[in-house]
Amino acid sequence: MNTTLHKPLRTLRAGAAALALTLAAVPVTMLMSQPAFADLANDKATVDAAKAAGTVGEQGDGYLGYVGGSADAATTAAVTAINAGRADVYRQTAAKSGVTPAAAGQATGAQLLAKVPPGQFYKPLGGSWTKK
Amino acid sequence: MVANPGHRAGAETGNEEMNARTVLFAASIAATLSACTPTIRVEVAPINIYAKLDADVRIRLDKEVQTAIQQNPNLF
Repeated sequence: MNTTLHKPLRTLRAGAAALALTLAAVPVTMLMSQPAFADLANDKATVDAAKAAGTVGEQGDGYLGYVGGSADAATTAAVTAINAGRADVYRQTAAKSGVTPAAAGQATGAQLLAKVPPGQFYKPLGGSWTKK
Repeated sequence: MVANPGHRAGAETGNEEMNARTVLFAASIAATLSACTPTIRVEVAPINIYAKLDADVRIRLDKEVQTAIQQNPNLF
């Protein structure tokens, strides 16, 4: 009798422990990913300012590039971070669609170039920097 | 008779110098070509990847891309 009573209890206790672990893990992941999100939001703001200033632009390959070949350290850091994040996204998109990451980048680049606001620079595949 | 072998030896040294120069020239050409090749590949290879995809693949990819852009407002 004792064993039959204990078994469900033990299962319950194990389940509660697992639930507690899951609940504890969620805020930790949120805390850990939040600074990265904040960084990317700052990077995005930096890049948007650089785009408006004409130093950074969208490229046909789906990545950000430097219109004049280079930029200041803060802009370069922001561009590098966003391009790294984009590379991740292109790898995921490529895996989902059964194409190469480069093809996913170009597909994205085509959509991004269409959205470039007037006055900003873009560089089509195989072309040079052009003002929209 | 004596001058001839000497002359020949001189000619051979000349040939060796020529050979060395040819080898150097070939090496410099090879170096120049190999230095250029990656640049050419980087510029040319990616251009047609997306355009060469099948139409149905491209349509599916474009939808995935649209979703990815919307889901990552900090990256795009």
